[in-house]
Amino acid sequence: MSGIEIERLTYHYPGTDNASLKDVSLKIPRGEFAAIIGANNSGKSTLCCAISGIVPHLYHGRMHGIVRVNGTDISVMSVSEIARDVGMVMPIPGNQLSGFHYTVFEEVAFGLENKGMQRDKIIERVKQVLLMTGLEDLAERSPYQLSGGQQQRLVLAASIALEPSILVLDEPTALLDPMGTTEVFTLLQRLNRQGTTIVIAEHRLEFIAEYADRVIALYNGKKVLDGIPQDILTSSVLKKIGLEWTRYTQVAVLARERGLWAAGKPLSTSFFDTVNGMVKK
Amino acid sequence: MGFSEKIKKDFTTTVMVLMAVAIVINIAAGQLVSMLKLPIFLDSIGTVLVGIMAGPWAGGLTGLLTNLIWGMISSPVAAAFSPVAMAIGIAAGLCAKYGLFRTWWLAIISGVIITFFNAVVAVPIKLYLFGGITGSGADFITSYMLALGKGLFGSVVISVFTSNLIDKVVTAVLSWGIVKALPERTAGRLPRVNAVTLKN
Amino acid sequence: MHPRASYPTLFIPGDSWLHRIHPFNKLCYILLTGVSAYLLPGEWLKDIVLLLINLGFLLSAGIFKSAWKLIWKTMLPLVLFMIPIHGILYPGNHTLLISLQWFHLYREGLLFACNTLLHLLILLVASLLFVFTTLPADLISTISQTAGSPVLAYLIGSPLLLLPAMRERIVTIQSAQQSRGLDTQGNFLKRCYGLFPLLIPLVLGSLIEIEQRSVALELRGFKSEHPKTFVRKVSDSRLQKRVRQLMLVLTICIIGYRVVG
Repeated sequence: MSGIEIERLTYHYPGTDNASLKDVSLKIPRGEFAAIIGANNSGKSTLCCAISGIVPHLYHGRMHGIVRVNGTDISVMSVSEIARDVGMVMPIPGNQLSGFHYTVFEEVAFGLENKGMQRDKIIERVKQVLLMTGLEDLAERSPYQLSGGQQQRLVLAASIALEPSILVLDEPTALLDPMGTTEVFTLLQRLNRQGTTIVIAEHRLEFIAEYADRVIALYNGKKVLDGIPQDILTSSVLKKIGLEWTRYTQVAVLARERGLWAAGKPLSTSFFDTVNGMVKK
Repeated sequence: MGFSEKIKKDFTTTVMVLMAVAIVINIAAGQLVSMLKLPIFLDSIGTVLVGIMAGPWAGGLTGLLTNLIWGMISSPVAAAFSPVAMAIGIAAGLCAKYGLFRTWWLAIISGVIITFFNAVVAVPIKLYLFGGITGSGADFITSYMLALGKGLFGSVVISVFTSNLIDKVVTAVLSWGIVKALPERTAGRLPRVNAVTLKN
Repeated sequence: MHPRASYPTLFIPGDSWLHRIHPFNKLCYILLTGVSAYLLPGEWLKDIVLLLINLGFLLSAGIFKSAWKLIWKTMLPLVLFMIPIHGILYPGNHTLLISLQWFHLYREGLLFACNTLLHLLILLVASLLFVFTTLPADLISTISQTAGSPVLAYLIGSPLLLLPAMRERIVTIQSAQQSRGLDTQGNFLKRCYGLFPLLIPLVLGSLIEIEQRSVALELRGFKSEHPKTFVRKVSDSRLQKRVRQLMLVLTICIIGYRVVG
């Protein structure tokens, strides 16, 4: 099967007794835009790491269960083999740069060089990716002279250059301003429409409501909710697992309490739907 | 396990990144200390940290490269002392290997041993390349010893040893404390981090 | 493909013949000059010839002015310490040159000091030929490609890129600690006290980052066994290779001559 399959995954970080993931089972078919939500330490990051093979290949510790990517068990693949299928973006952009390339262009080329791609093809591919991520004017700059948002786009570009079929992002916008966040999500949407599977751990639910087609909620290492954004983001369970409704849902709930919400209409998660759902008393 | 395999096992990507960061720490700490106008250098703290956490070879290479890089960013004179920095890293690694970083007072002994290794390599360089004088504060000690009628060799030995003793002891104790304070997650990925704990 | 702004090293942008030469040739040249200055016979005449050759190279590469400043900055303290210390206190002194009450300047010490200074100056100028004309990015590529060691390339390239960021971090930590009343200006004890709150967060903070940095490198295939390709081209030629080998052979010969002779 193409996509991601996780079967009964339990994982302990080295030297810890409390499992970070507890018996998680999950299928994410190819082409989906899935969001993982949950409070701090709910296991979001660990789940991302498990899909990209960082767990258990680079972070050791005890792991039970199986993770398959495009049909292959990742425990028998090497990290660089997994990286061909799965791109990974982490929260702090500065730490994901290779750290020894002096231009944006070479930074993006780095992963392709390691794959042994022909020089002309690398140059063509890098140009294409820089254009896609809006970094073409910064190609000759030092990666360390970019803003946080630009750096995160660069990390994304370096990842996309390898043409992964799955892109895993662990809170990629944690350090970005709203503008930068929108930039990143728009780019992800474009990639998703071209067929890339997106898995993103994110705490800003407004963005998930707008972009994702599936939401998985974790609490204390367990999967507690899994469904379409409309259902999950308006669920009353969110509060119990340490999350808050989006402002739009909060307004809709308030409107319903005061009899201002259309009868039988589900609670909304976006500005537009909330305005539309209101009725006169 | 063969010798080259041993090096390979110690030389993971994490160790490589640790070494690069340690080189930056060496240079930054050196500049910070001179900014505060303190009578020590602390410019080998990163080297000693690598020696403790990743063994003598990684430590030695860290020291060597620190001074070569220093030579490229400020003045080539620093590069002439790169073998000295290498000796410091090897010495720190060996001390850690034989359990001399398990407590703070053992770390003091390591500091003295590092000072000794430092002198063994620094004295010939100072003597043959620089004629015993490097244009620093330590030259006052050298000239005082010369004035007392000591030979050039003896004067340089005494000046190198005394001007480094406090610095290397402080560096060793500080490194011991830093490795102990590392969060488990970071420490767990480094091959020899147990060198600072009593049970081993 | 050159980065436009701010070079982390002493590199001076330019387009001279020295700028275009393979970095390893310049490194071999430092080696050859070093052994020639210290091990070849011929004392003063040979040294002055070597110095003139190196100064000529500086001039032809158009970096004489910048080099001049750095040479003064490096050599002046050495001159100021070495001439009087050796002139007065050098153990081999016996021919008196000047004598003013307690001040006795001797010929042997003075010559020893001058000789040492001249050797250092030759070595310094040869090193500047390399440092001033080698773009860090070119050096890193050379180490990856010609020497075939991406690990060494990382170990030299990464600190050069990270240093400016580290300096910013020092300033941030310093202002944060000062706003909490930490004194980094006052007397000696206060400054000692001020060191550790600055240093410890800096060191611990950067050590904690290494985990993510190494994971990122592995994910991008740094350790991949697959043969790598390179985007940045390094200028090398058969002639340059030959010259490089010749310089190494000469270096070994000089060392051999000295050991045997």
